[in-house]
Amino acid sequence: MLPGISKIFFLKKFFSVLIVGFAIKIMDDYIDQDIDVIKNEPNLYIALEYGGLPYALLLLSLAAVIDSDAAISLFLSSFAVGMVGNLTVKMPSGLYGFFESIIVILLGIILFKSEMLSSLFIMAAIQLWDDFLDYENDNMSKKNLAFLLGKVECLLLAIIFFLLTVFFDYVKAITSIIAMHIIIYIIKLLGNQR
Amino acid sequence: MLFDKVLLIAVLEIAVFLFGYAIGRRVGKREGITEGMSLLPLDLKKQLYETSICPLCSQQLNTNKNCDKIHNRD
Repeated sequence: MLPGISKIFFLKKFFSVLIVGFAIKIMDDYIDQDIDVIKNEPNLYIALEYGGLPYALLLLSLAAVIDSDAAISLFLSSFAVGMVGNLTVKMPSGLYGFFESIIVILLGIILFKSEMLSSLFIMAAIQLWDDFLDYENDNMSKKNLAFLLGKVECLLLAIIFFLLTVFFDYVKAITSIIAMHIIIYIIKLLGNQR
Repeated sequence: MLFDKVLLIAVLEIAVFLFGYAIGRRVGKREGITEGMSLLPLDLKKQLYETSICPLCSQQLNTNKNCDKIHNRD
């Protein structure tokens, strides 16, 4: 096992990150369901049909039971990272997406301190990495960060954010990367089954 | 801790590289566009001279009738 880290601690964090990862993926797929239908890409929310919302909430609750700080901070970070790109779009709350992100980040930092920072950095790193990989597929998308910032800039920023996550919480960095690959693999299986 | 120090130094180095790369790429792109725009008229003229086909509208130049002094090559 990793130096200074017990097996139980690692496993708790790993399963919490993996389960909240699925909840975040369902939320992301809910937002992107129209685009995924047009592109004919696998979508977890559509696959679950009406069960999408209850399952996402159930998974989030389970993850919070296992490791509440990691689970909730990751969920808040995913919300903040997802909303930060919407600078001029007003959300149902009446606020711009950008302001919602700032409020969520501040709330997270007050509640979880460095745990929130590590979650925010790993979410940003995963988002940038994902956009870097998707560059060839959706290079005309205005939301793709690799298209907006440049491909190399996107990759370097992803590396910087990942290293910052390692600095704050290296267990979370490792478990998040493993969980991300597991989720991608399962989504791929879902796509092959259709 | 040594590991933390190494990490922070690596982050700083990559950030400096990223800063230089991002600025260099944007400045280079703008310089390239300016340079290209200054070379474009010459290149269009060269194409027109070599092929007698207008590179903008792909029309064959009238080389037989002496109706246009500019486009007449005879």
